[in-house]
Amino acid sequence: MSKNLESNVCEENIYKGLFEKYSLQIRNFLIYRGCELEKAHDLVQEAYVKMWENCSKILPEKAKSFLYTVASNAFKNDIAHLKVKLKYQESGASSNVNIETPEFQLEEQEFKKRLEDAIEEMVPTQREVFLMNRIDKKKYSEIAEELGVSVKAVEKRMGKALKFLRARIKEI
Amino acid sequence: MESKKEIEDDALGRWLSGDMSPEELKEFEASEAFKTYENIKNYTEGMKMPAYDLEKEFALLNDKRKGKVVQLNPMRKWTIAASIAIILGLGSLLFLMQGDDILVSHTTAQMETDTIALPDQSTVYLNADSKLDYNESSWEEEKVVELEGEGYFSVTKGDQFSVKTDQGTIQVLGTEFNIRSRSDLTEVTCYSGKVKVSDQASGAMILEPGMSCKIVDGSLVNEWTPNFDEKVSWLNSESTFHEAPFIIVIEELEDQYGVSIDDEDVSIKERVYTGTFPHGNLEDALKIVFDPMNIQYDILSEKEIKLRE
Repeated sequence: MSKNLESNVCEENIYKGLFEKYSLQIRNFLIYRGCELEKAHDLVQEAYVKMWENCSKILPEKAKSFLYTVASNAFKNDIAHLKVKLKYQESGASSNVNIETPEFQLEEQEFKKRLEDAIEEMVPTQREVFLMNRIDKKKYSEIAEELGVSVKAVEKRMGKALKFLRARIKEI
Repeated sequence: MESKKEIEDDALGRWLSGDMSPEELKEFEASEAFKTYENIKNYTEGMKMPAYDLEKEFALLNDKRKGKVVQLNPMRKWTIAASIAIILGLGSLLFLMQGDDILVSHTTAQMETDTIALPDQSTVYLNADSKLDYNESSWEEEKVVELEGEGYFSVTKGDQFSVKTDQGTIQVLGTEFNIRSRSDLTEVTCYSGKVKVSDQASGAMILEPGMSCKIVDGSLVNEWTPNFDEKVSWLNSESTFHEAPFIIVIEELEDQYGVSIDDEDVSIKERVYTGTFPHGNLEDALKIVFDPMNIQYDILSEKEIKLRE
């Protein structure tokens, strides 16, 4: 118990564990905000350096919010487009299927392209929530905690994001 | 325009997380838009970000960490100070080198607030038109910040901590308090813990939660009871924007107040907004956002607002 109380981020195995656990999701978070790939890698490293410099004062359970705070202070850009290309998981099946909906008919490639373009142009506050859920598979409650907003606000942003994407895909 | 009423944002959000009620789901699945949403859901499920090489990144990080432990020559310090300035990325943040000292200065303009994490993880919420300085190099020996303007301090427990203003010094031990120091007046309000306030003469007093005091022209005057709610309203909750497209500000207003804002009759495309609006008072918020932009607004009903030039 007393060991537990003393543990802080200066312990190498804890520090490394925190890097393994959070560095990728923080990189992704920066990219969703519109940060470029290399820059996002740099900013993640800077956040961890800053955590190292202050390691004796940071308890492991506070590390995540410290890292998110430093990273989001480092990249604040309300109008940024997505700069990084998203990739699709290889499904193996050849993909030129028709996407049929009551609203329109599109070839799969065209649908994907419109979807990608629309995600790029989405407002960052909606995009970050949307992709944290879709790509990082985070629950709304986790997203809400990391962004410091309510679950209700996450639900609304997700809904707005979906509406935006649908409208863009429908547009001819 | 769709003939049917469009689904609410939050309901659509709950659909994606599987939290719709069976009735809602049934209705939604019957709607024309459903298939498109389902396709979006399925295709975004398989989206991936570029690869991330954890081991390589950790090795890089280790190089950077080691670099920080080495005794630094003055040139090297400059580069570190510069890189820290980039990390925080704020126009309002300034680092100055003075001998071996790293002096950090945060300032806020009008209509702008900032949240500052001090080296010991204490947090300062800096209100508009304010300035906070401290010496990062000597922080370990002496935790002192200098404040002009107004700041709310949430101090890490167990830390001795002082705030200097033009008027006097406030000493704290793991507590929350607000200091407003404008022109010839400093007001201190204690929210938790204990705060010791000393003026420039020899006066000193200890504040407990709920107590406030003033220093006027360098001398302590008697304690008074503030309107608690009013005191912290500036930080209770608010939305802050820095050069944001105006449409985002309107959306945030809609989100915070659950209203719909009709911007059909105004041209907002090219406009950007820097500032903060409060949550919890729609009229104030509308005034704060739209007055400076020279946009008129009509409150049509509890839930509807219309903008005009």
